[in-house]
Amino acid sequence: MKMKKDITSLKLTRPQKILVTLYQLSDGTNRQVRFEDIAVGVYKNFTADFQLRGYPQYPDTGDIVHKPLYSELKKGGYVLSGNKYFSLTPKGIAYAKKLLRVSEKETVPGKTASVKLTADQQKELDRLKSSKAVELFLNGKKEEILDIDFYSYLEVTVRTGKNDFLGRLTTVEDAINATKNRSDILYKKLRECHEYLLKRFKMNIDFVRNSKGGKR
Amino acid sequence: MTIQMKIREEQNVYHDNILDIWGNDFNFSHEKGLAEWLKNSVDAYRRVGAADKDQFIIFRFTDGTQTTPSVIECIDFVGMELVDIEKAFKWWGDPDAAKRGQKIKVFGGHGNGGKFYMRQMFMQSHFVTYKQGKINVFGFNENRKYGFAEGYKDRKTSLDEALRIAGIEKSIIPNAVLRLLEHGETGFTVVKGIRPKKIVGRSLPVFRICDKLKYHPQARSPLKFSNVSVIHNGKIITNSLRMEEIESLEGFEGPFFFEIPDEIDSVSDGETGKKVSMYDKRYGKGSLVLKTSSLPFGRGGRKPELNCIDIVGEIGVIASYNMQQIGFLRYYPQAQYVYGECSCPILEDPEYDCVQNDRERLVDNDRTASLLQWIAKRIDEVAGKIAEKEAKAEEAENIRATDEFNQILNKWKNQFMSKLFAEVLGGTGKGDTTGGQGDEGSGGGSKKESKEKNGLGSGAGKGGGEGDEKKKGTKAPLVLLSGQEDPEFPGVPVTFSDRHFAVEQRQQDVDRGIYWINLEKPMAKKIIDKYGVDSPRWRNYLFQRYVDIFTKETLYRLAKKEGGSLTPEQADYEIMRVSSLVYDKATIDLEDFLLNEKYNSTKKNENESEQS
Repeated sequence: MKMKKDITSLKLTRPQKILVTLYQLSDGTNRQVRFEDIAVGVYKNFTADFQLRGYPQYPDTGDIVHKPLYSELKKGGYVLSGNKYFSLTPKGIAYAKKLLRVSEKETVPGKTASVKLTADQQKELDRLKSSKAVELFLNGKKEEILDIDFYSYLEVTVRTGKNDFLGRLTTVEDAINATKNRSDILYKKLRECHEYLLKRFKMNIDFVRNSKGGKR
Repeated sequence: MTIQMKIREEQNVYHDNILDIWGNDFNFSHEKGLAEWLKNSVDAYRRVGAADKDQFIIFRFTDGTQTTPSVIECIDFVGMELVDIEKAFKWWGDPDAAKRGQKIKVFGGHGNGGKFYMRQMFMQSHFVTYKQGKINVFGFNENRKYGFAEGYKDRKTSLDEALRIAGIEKSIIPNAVLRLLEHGETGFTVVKGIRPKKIVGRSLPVFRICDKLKYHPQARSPLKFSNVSVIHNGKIITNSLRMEEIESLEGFEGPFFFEIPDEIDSVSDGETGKKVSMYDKRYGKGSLVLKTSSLPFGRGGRKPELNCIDIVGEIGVIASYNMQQIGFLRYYPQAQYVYGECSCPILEDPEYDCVQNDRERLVDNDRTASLLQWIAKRIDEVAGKIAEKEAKAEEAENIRATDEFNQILNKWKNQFMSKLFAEVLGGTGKGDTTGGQGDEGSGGGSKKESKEKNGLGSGAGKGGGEGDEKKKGTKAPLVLLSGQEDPEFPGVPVTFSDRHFAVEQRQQDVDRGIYWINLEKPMAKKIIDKYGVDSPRWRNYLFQRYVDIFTKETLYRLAKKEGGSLTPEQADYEIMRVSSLVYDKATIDLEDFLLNEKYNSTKKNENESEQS
């Protein structure tokens, strides 16, 4: 994929560099990319950051690439993984695009307090609005919300892996937070509902946070 | 101008026909009539201040022969004098007759019951009474007219002669009483009914009459304290006729006490908020005491007659209502465990008397109808709790029965699940727990020893892995039923709502490989309600949930294998493939279980044990 800017000149954090490389390798789609391709791609783009220690002519395929992918980027809701393949989520795609446009401003993943709703956030909010949990909340039946409604709200199940679960939670929270400057009554209610759900199902969230490993 | 006149009171004059008219209301059964005689005898003892233990009453039944009619008698050892007959017995409808002017509590009410029984239910009847050395014989002839027997009005007689006239052998008299008789300190009365009506043949159904008598609402209380014997054709049947104690329903030992409010909703005008007074300073507060029986009345020897609420008056029962008569009961089946007593003194207020002559039912008016409705609601409160307990017990029983089937399915699933996933997701042969291609499997193995070729092996074969790399196989999931305990937390049942999924997993279940079949789902409940747990429909429902679990497992395993890029086409194909394989396997292994109307899991298990 041809980039408008020279990707190597961007001022990015290490996870952001992996993300934009994945964006590049997947042609800006959610197509799956092999871990090895990412490791080589990110080495090519940012050699100084991703070379094997003592052997600058070789890429480091260890934790330096592995860890951000499985941890930070997954928890942030930017990537999905399976069987050593990785793909970008809609949020990941939107964020990569943004990085490529505004990277000079030193953006940090997960701290996107943008005023304007992105397309993926709008899509996320539309999904939340039609969820059972929100429906019950808006109809004054919040006590009837079940754990399965909460999982559906986050678009997870009890079997969703730890980092994927936390990634979905971040994605939903980002979408909700993006509505903070909006006076629309529905968004206000949505924020109230979100707060209520986080409080009500804190034990379920903590269960995931405290569980071992990323695989379930 | 109106002329002022004063009416001079005269004695009422009645034609005897009025007794026939009243008598028709006393459509007696013998147990009811004997209860009236019993109450009269107990009242006689009360008038002389006899303690309960000193009250001896004998019911004597003598079958008829070709030459003699059958006779029913009631004997007490108090006796009456002429004045008692003249001033009390001869009077009809005197509410104070039983008290004889004394301030005592007596069972007798309107002074009619015993007399009407004598008059209406026998061809002839009379009583022989002896006291202070004088005998009186008074009774009704075949024309239902009463009077003294000729030559037996206040006649001086010796005790022996009196006993001979009365037909009482000394052997049936308790020794203590006999001594009193011999010392002239007491007397006796024998009420005789000759040729009883409503009895076919000459033999008297003594057992049936006594059995009903001891549960009759008018007799229960007097029988509780007095010594009542029964003699049939000269033989003593019992020395203590009384009803057996009723064992309470477990968990409902009670008794359940309810105070009757000073005012209750009126039945006749309940919607406008009209109230009926149930309390007056002259009469104390009323109360209702409900008790339960371990078995429903009418079953297992429990007398249906006891399934009632007795309305008790100053002394004794003034009315009795069985559960059908009490009014609308929402929990009628459970009300069959309930009985009790209601004391409501205001019912005996003479200004608004609610007590009927025969003491079977109360007078039908707003107060009594409203009280009955109030009682019905209290019965429903207790019966409703019994219904709740029954529902829980039934649910537990359903879970137990369903668990048997679930274990069969669990066992079946474990036999081939890992093999199935190996087949579906590719790559067999690795691992030490999946069994691989066993050579002793019951079906589906590919080796020559296998009975069935190229299917899915379900045997726990000897084979095992053949691969180079040893890898721990996946543990087969455990399927449990909602309402059962969490295996790691005994005593804590795991429940779901009807909105949870038909197959559920909680977060803590995932790593333990536990699935729950949610029995709260409306369809599950409907099948159980309509067809019961022992029905092929229910077994099929359970089986279908296993198919759900196979499908879920397949999808997750496939998604993992595909690295999170599972397409609808892949999912579609694999779901169809898994369900097809599961159904094919079930067709062989679970035909009886799924298709037969009756499935004997015990027999099946025994056969399997023998085979193994």
